[in-house]
Amino acid sequence: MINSAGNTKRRTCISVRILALLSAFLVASDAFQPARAQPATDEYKVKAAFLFHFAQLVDWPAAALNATDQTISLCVFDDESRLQELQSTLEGKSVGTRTLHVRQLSQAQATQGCNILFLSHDESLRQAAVLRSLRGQPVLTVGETGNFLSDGGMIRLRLDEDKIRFDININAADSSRLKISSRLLMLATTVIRGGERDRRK
Amino acid sequence: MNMQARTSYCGLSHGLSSLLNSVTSKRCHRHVKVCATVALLTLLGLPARSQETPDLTQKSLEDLMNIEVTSVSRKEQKTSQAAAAVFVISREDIRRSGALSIPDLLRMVPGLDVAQIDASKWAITARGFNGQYSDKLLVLIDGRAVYNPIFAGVFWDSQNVPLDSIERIEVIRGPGAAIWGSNAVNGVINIITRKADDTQGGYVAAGLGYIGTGPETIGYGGKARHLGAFRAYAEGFHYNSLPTFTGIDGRDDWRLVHGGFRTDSTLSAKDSLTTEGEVYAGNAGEFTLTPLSLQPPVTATVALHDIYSGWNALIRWNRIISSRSDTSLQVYFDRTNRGDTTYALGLNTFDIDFQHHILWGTRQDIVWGLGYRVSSDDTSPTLRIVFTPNDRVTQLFSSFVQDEVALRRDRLHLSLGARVEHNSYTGFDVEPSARLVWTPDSKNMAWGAVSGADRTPSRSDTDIRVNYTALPGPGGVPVLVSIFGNPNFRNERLTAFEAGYRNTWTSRFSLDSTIFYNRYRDLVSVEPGATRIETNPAPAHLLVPESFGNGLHGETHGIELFANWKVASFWTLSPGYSFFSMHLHPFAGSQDFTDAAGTEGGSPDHKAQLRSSMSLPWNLQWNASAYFVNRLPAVSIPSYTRLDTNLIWHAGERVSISVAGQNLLKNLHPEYSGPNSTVQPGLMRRAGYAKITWSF
Repeated sequence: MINSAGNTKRRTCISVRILALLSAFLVASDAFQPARAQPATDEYKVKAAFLFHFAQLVDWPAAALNATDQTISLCVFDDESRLQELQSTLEGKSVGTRTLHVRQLSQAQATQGCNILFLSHDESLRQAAVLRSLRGQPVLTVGETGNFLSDGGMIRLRLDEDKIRFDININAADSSRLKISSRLLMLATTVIRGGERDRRK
Repeated sequence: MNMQARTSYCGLSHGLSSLLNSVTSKRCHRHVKVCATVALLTLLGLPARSQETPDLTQKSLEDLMNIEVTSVSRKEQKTSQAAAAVFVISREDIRRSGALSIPDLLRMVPGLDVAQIDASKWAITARGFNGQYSDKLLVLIDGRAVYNPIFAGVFWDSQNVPLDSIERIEVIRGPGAAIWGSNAVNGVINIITRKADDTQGGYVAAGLGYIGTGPETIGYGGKARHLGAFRAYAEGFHYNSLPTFTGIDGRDDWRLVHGGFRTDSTLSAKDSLTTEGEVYAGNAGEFTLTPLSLQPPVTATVALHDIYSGWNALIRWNRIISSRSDTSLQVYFDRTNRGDTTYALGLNTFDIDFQHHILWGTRQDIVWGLGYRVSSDDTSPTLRIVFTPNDRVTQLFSSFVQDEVALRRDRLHLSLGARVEHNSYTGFDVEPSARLVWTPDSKNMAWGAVSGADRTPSRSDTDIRVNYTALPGPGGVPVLVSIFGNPNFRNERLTAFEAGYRNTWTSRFSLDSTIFYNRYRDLVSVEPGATRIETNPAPAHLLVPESFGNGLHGETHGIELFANWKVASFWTLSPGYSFFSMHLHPFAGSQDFTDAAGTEGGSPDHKAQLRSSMSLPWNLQWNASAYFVNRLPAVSIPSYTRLDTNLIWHAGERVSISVAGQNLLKNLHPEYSGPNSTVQPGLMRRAGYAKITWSF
């Protein structure tokens, strides 16, 4: 073969990427998906935009945010595909007087310095442990799995007939001294509060 | 034996985790990816300009909540990558199907034979050998095997799960014995219910139609302090009887009530616990030809009333050891009672399964497990059916291991597995499997598999005696025609060769095709015995005996095609076609020259289907499915086309109202009749149905 190693690697990467994207299209066109009323947008692009709004509609205790560098750190575990969507949508966006910075955490790395932590489905194995380690810490936790809120997470994003909905565990936010705006609470499908559950929709 | 969906993927979907790893790998430099994205879009024929996605952060939350998204969920990717003929019925498919029962849902699976016998009975199988007791199809509900070890088959009338609580149904055509165990010869159906966390709140559904009333369902899900999430439900229905060939009422109306629960709790950061339980009671009628007395000898078709009940409970403990290793331990108990005046049985099943899943090195994904099942039954002898001994305890020990190796990451994956079992009838049994997946590029995926699978004997193969017919013989001596089980019955054995190809031509069109060639040995035959005088049961009579043997062998082959075509953003068409051919032959020494033809002609050679799903304005959805099934020559069933349709109106977030029509093209046609069913078949009626559901 005349391909240099670099070329091979590059080609592999391209096809990997194509594979990832095509699977999105494949799934969209697969038997498992309903017909859509309008062209669909990539799930994680939209979820990134949700995270942007969450950053705006949550107040951190003053001490929690870094006073010097004026950023809000959104952390995501070692997860290349999600990271890219998040970075392209969110990096450098201003939230009030601060700017959003998307940070990638390696497997073992601590969550220190994170203001928002996004735990995707892929992190379900360590989810409970991570959330437990963050209990009481002023970190807004956003996740996806069915037991994210019962594990102590704050906002769960989920799909309902291909549209994104979210539920809020206000107990978890309260104990971390995060203040979630009433507007966000109003738009949540379910709000868990003081052990009981409000279903709005 | 497999416990949950995830583990099933471990076995069947080849290399997916490595695939996912590669998708998320850091080897790719970002600009390469961007190039690839652009290349892909060009590939898809989209102008590159349209790729500049609007800045979504500028949209309001309300707008964002109205955007429809594509999700690349792990589950669906896994299915599309599985090295087996897998079809998944999703929750959306269930909602749109208008089906009232699990068998009706299964009609949409390309290549699966689903034929309704009467109001409460179905013959369901994949790849041939269909019958009321299809003995080569394994069915599991949340990891609990519902294959009946007495009659070797599934009593579909007692497998009821509220359809709204089903997360998905995975149907695998072809052998899955290396993972799932014996009897997963021609297919596996895995019904997976939703987690309790996903069914919070209340749910009420009611239906009424020409078919009958129900199912009326009431369910509630909540969270308890020490329990975690739970749900409980109760459901009941009454389906009307169907007419028979002769035009009379089949007296086969079917009633059922059942209730159950599921809890999902997190014990610790690493441990989670699921418990489930169900209790049910039902009854259904049928017309069956049965001997009524020996002196005088009378055999007649009589109306029987099958009464059945049971309960089951399951507990499953999942433990995550590390991100590369996890275990699950599952225990269940199942009690079944059923009977009419011609048979009565009770069955206790206790089953314990352990599984360990481990990622080893960078290339290997290993699952291994151990299992033990003990079944104890009690039967009551009747004039028609006697089991000898009446009561029996059987045990099954099993172990399996499956290793999935990435030979070339993202390109070529090999999975090798084997299951070793020991059962009370035939002792040790080894069921191996080798599967290879090749993904030459992002649009094509090809797989091939060679597997061995066995159908192990059931009580009805070894211990049963069925007195079919009592009739007056020469000189007024009663004659009894009976079939006997064979204590030396051996496993029915399959060696299967399968290959499949999946292609995604465009984002709108995908194709899934499978071909298979199966070789069967030691298939069940019915061998005539020597006529003799028998004094017990009294009075003395002439016995014309037959007994089961392993006298047949044969081959089947076929093609299964399925496509998905998104005609427009609001309209999806799903055509499917399957061809099937079977040739059975008696071994030298077998005197069974009739059953081969009966079994060959009991499965349709051609089947085709077209499903359409359309979203309409005003929150309406219109769905229609047409199924063509060619004639069954052996059982005198003419070909038919079944047309079902429904219209669903989502009246707000909480309420939906649907109207459905079934069998619209032809009123009163049969879908199935003997030889592997003793029941007088019912004729399928054109029927309408309306349903309302309310969630709160």
